[in-house]
Amino acid sequence: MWRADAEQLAEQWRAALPFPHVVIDDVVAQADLDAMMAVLDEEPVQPAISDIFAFEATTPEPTTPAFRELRESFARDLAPVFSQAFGRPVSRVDMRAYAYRPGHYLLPHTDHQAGLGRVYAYAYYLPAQPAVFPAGRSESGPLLLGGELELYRCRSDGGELVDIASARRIVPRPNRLVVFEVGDHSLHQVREVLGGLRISLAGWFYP
Amino acid sequence: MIIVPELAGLAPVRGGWRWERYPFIDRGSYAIARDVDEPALADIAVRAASRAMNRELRAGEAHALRLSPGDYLLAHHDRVYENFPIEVVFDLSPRPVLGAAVHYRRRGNVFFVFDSQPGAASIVERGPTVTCNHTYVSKLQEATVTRLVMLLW
Repeated sequence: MWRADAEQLAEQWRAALPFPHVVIDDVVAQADLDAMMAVLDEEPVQPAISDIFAFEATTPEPTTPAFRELRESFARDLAPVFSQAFGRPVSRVDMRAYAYRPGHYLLPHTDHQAGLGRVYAYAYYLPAQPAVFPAGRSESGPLLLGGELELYRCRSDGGELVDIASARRIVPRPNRLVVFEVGDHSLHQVREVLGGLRISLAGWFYP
Repeated sequence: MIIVPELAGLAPVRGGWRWERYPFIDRGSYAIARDVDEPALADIAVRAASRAMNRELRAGEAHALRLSPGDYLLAHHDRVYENFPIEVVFDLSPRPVLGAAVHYRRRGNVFFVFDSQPGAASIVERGPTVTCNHTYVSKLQEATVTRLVMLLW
C-alpha cells in the first residue's frame, strides 16, 4: 500500500538541510487513499491543548481494528525501506490522526526526549477540507491556508539551542509523506492554520 | 491568587520602555523590555498584593512583555522560584485579545488563568512547583498583548 524507493530516499536524506529529512509525494494509490479516509471517519478525535499545541487528535492507541491495521501496514511497508535508506534500523511505529482547524498550531520543538527511543518522525498529509474564504476573495486559491511544516537550522551552546533560523517550509500537500531524523537539532513547528482543515497521520518510528 | 479589575487604571504608566526581541523560539517568541521603571504602578501592586495575600511585601524586579500575532511564551522557559515571591501581572493591552491568557501551572497542570482583560491585574504566589506560560496569540486577529510583570518580595 505504502510506496517508497530506498535508493532515491537515501540520496535525498543525505542532501537535506537543515537536518536529514525526505519529502515523498503520492505515497499511496488513489484507491488506497479513499479507503484510508473511510477508516479515519470511524476514528474519534478529541481536542488537545497545551502551552505548545492546539489541535484535535485520536487517542495514542487506535480504537478500531481498521486504524490499527493501517498503522501496522505503514510499519510493515516502510520500516524496512527507511532502515535501509536512512541507516538506523527501525521496526515499530505509532500513529495518531490529527485535525488542525483555523487557529490550531504546534509550536517549535525537537521531538527529542531521552528514553523514548524516537528515531524518525513522520507526518502524512490527507486531503484538506476547503477554507471558508472571506467575502470578496477568490475561491480558486488553496484549500488550506497555513499549516506548513517549518524546519529550523540551529546549533547548541551549553545544552541550549542558539542561532535559530527558519530553513524550510513544507506545504502539507495531500498524499505527501515527510520523514525526518529526531535529534537535539530537529527543531520544527506546524504553522498556525488560517483556513481550511488540515488532516494528517503522524508519529515516530522506533527500533 | 486573584484578579483585580481596573487596577492598572489607578496610576499612570510612564512608559518609554526599550523593546528587544527574544531570539530563542523553542522557548518563546515575544518582545521584552527589561528597563521598566514604574514606581506608581509598583506602589499599587504592593498595596493590592499585601492586602490580598496578607503579607508585608516590597517591590522587586519588573519587566514588560509584548506579544504580537504568532507570539507565545512556553512554560519550560519560565523561572522557578525556590522561595515564594508574589507575581503581579498588569494587562496593559489596548483592547481584549481573544485566547490570549496567562496560565499558571502547578506540576504542569493549569490551576489559574488570567484571561485578556485590559486594565486588570493578577496576583499569584509563585513557588518551586509553579510555572507560568503566556498562551499563543493567534494570527487570525490583529492584536497586540502588553503585560507588565512585577515580582514582590
